[in-house]
Amino acid sequence: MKRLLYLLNRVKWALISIVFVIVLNFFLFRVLPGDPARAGVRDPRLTAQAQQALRQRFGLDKPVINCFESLNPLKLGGCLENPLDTQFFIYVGNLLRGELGTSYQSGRPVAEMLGQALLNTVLLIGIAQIISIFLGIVLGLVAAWKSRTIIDFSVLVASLVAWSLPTFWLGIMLLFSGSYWLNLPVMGKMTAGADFNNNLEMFLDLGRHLLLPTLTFTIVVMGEYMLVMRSTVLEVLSEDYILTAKAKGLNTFQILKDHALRNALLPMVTIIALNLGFTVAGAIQIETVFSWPGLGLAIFNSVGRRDYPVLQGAFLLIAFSVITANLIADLLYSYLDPRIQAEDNG
Amino acid sequence: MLKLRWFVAVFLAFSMIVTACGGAATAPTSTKPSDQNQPSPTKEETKPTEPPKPSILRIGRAGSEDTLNPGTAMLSEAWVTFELVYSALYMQKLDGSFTFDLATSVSASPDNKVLTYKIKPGVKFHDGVPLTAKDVVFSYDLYKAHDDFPYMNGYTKYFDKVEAPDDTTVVLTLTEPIPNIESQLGYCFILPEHIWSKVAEGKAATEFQNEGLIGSGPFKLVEYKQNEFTHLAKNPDYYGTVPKVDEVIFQKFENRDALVQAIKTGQIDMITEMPNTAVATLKNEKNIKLVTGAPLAPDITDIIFNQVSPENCPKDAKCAGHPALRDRIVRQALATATNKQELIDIVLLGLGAPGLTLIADGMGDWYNNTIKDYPFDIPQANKMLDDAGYKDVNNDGVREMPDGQKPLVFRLNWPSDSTVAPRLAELISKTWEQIGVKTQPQAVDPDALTAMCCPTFDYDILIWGWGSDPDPSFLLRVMQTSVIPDGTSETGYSNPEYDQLFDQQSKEMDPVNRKELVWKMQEIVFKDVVYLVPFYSQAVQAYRTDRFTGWITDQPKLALDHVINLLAVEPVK
Amino acid sequence: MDDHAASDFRSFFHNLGHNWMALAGALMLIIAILVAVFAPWIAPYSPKATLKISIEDIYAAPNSAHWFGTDDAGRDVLSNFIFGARISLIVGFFASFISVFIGGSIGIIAGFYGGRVENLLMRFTDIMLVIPDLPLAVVLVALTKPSLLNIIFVIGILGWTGTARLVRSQTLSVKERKFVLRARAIGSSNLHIIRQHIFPLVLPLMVANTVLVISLAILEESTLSFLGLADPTNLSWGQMLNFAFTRGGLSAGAWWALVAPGLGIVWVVLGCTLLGHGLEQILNPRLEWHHLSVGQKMVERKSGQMPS
Repeated sequence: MKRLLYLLNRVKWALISIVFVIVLNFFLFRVLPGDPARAGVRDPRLTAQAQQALRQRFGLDKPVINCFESLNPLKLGGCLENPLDTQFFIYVGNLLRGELGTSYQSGRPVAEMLGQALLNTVLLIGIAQIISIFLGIVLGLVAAWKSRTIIDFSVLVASLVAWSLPTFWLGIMLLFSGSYWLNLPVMGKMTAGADFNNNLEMFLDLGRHLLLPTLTFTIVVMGEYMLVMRSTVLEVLSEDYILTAKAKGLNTFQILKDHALRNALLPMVTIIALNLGFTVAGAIQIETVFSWPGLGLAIFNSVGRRDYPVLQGAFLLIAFSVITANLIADLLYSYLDPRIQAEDNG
Repeated sequence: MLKLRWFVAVFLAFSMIVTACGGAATAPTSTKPSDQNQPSPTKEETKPTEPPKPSILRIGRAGSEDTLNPGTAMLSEAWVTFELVYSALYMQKLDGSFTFDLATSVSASPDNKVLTYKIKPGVKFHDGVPLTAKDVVFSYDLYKAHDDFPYMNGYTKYFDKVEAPDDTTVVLTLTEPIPNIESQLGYCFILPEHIWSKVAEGKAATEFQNEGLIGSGPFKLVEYKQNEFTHLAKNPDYYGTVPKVDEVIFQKFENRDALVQAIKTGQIDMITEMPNTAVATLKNEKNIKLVTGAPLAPDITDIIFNQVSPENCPKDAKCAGHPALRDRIVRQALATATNKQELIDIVLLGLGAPGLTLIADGMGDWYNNTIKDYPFDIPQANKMLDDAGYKDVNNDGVREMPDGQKPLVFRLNWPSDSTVAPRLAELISKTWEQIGVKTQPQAVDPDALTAMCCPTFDYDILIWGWGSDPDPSFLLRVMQTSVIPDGTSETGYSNPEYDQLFDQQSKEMDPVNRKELVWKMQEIVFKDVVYLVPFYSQAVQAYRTDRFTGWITDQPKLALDHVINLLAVEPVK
Repeated sequence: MDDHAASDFRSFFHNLGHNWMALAGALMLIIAILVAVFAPWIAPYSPKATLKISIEDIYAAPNSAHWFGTDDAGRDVLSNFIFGARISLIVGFFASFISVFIGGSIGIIAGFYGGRVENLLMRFTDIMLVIPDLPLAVVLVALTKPSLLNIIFVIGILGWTGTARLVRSQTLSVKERKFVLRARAIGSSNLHIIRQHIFPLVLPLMVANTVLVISLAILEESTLSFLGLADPTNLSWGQMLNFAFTRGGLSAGAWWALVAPGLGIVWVVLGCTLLGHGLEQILNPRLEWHHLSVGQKMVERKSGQMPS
């Protein structure tokens, strides 16, 4: 029963976070609505009427919310009109239907554009996370076990340096050495428009494109996992029961596997979940450098083009994903650690 | 505990694989029109002899189409694709002139208001449905009916009505005679009525994604992934020259360095642009040929002076520009104090020509090449300002107005997403300091820039730019008095003589006379320094010599991705 | 009470001397700060100097006149690199001060007052924690004017969550110490207790945390600049990388324009990280382990000695 209450509490807070993000998202973008009829280089063929028609097309001629006709410049008015015909409620209504609006630039539904992007980002991040978690755990374990030796020292320094590298810079360095010396692809998820004879070829092509971005990601993220794993294992290894186990005659490897690893897992789950925000930041940089067609690149491109619906939608999706992932991590954590329900005071 | 960990890991790995499969094979947002004529090789497992691999031309570029809907598209990359997939009555050639595409002949009524076109018989759309004059009528009516089509609005403004008395005749009635009708009809692509009639009304037309992209041009769409690539294949039933390449893939790169890298490593066969700094390195590459020339659709970078007079100030506008800029002598002095060659060298790495007016050298005959530019002469510029009474009364290095009050300090703004403007601003500010003029440079968000520019006129000097169109009318339009109130005029320039000439040239049917008028207009705005155009940048493109040959590089304009080029190239043997 | 705090500080500095990470980090940071402070004297060219530039000066390889070569505007990379340290460090320091100030205040208030105040503040922190930093920063900076102040402000108001959680948990543990209870019994005001007792004990931890927050702020500034969202007239290291990356540096083969600013960032961030982790290690025994208060980037460990 206690666990159920805990779970419900967690879900409640996840939902509150989501509501907060939705409201924040809306007002953020309405403070500067942006003009879909505008481009960096203006076009002489775009008449004033056409610009106005474009604005109408994207519903920018409606009042923002009750009593505020627009937020920038701040214009009051329209308090008594139909409150549901304001941009805010139209926006919320659309969200509930899974509609994220229409892209200013392409006129396509944002949800459609970002759906595939989301999958691409998950693919990239997912694989990189798995590898870096695995490596982080193993290397952290080894470093803690061999603490105060040269192995520990080098692992420690390596992970600190890795963590200090700007993700985008590492990406650039790898991109050009990789494409120059190993002839790896310069961009994208797969070779454009290629016909593959079988699934193996397709996987290989995907793999070649994944190699450098994943490597970049792994290097940057792995450092932190190594550090955390190392420090947690160090603590665990200093516990009394380790001495007991050793006295009982268990060999080192067994001790590491059955005791150190198990108990160090809990903080790792937390760190992985908390790291998701950082992971997303890394994704934006990596996708920009490697032209990987994911959510991060969508954000970057839409900023440049002032395509606010896409930007808004991508931001929302990312926030949702992180909140959801955190929730899952929380639930997983509670499943793993029975102490937690008593601690938490909702 | 361990079991759980392995389970989680396996589950994650499994979902990654599923995602990869799903993402790769059946990408939901990419489009493969279910058509019969796929020229790619069959993939059966047991085949005695392999059919020859199709020749695929891979083109790299830094942008991509915004949409495949010709009504709503605004980016030039979309128009490149449209010209490959669609037909129109006319087609633009690489010397800037227009030739018949779908049309075979035209006859005009004596008042030039009724044009009768004959079009080629037996033309089919990519899905096999015949193209008739009815499709032309439908398309023109569609364009005209939608004022939410950004560009078609301007192109069909003077269409009164269009009719198809029979399958191969189109009768176009204009509200007034239009001298440049070919350039406008060249962009009015012929859409298949049997597909578009379902979405012709209202919002459906602007929301239609048109991902089947069925046209009647030399290429047809195989697959389209927005912001990634566009995959075309040749149309073997094309009524004109059938392309010699089997397939063309346009690939979008997020940054231009990656373009250079890709062509060097052979992942790409041709690139339509590159950073000027790469020219030196690519020149030395063995299998790559670099070409420069006037771009097909020149982008103009311009320096805008706020010169709106109080009489012309629109209602509710601020009109808060520096008064000195309304004095032509000041503008001429600034032009004389601008070292255009230095700007070309540093900003464009030498790949450009000094600019004159908004009509660029790539506009062919429309460009008035007899105008003599202001020579870069600091002492002369200083003298001009001295003689006009703008002296430095307090010896702080900055001149003041003739009444000794307001110093010549100008706000200098540009859109924050411009790569060229910051460097430009820095360099001209430095040289203008030498004639006692100071600037306050500041990058501004593009939306904010629009808000302060026009028709508010709350700025001093802006660095901005225009895209262009083959016909000079569209750019000359922005310097009229009548467009000051609606925000089209950036400068607030007003000259009745210019306005009159504009009206004349927009009706002048004889091309020679019209050219004279257009040339005179350029002289006027050059003398009045309405805009200061620092340079016209050249197009820089490159192709691999070991892949495809037949590239056309000896024409006045350079556009390796133009339909004429893609019809001419073939694989290297 | 004061003796307690004083002896803490003395042993703190004693430990500092023996900790190689903290020393190395401190040294790296000091060098960076010195370079930034004395930039006008160290740099061979002044960034404001008007140079005569020709085509050959663009992306020139390292030579005797320019040890680090030139960038896309023909300017000396070494000089830009030295002055770039200023902007990167200024943004890093000021943004992190804002973050730590906000986070520290929230943490102390939440931890000290407890109850509904704590609940509200910590839930708010949780929500902010979960919203991904960089996308929000990208959106905020993109929507407002590109300027140095904006970047500092945006990074500052987004980076306080880790500090808040850390300070709160530390406050919770300090709150229960005997001398605090004694002070309450005497009748000292809350503010007095916070200032005299809580704060000095929370401070060392906050300092260690600040150093790490600085490293994050510098990384974030360089990322935002690289993405083209900063004021291009301020040549921070990130901005230098943005110019080199977007203005054809790689295809021009100008590795010097890309490597130098990147190494600068790595140097400073690594220095902060080493110092921060070193300080953490020193302060280790004083931390209480609370498995829910795992900070965003800094981990609190159970008290105990490291196995020899």
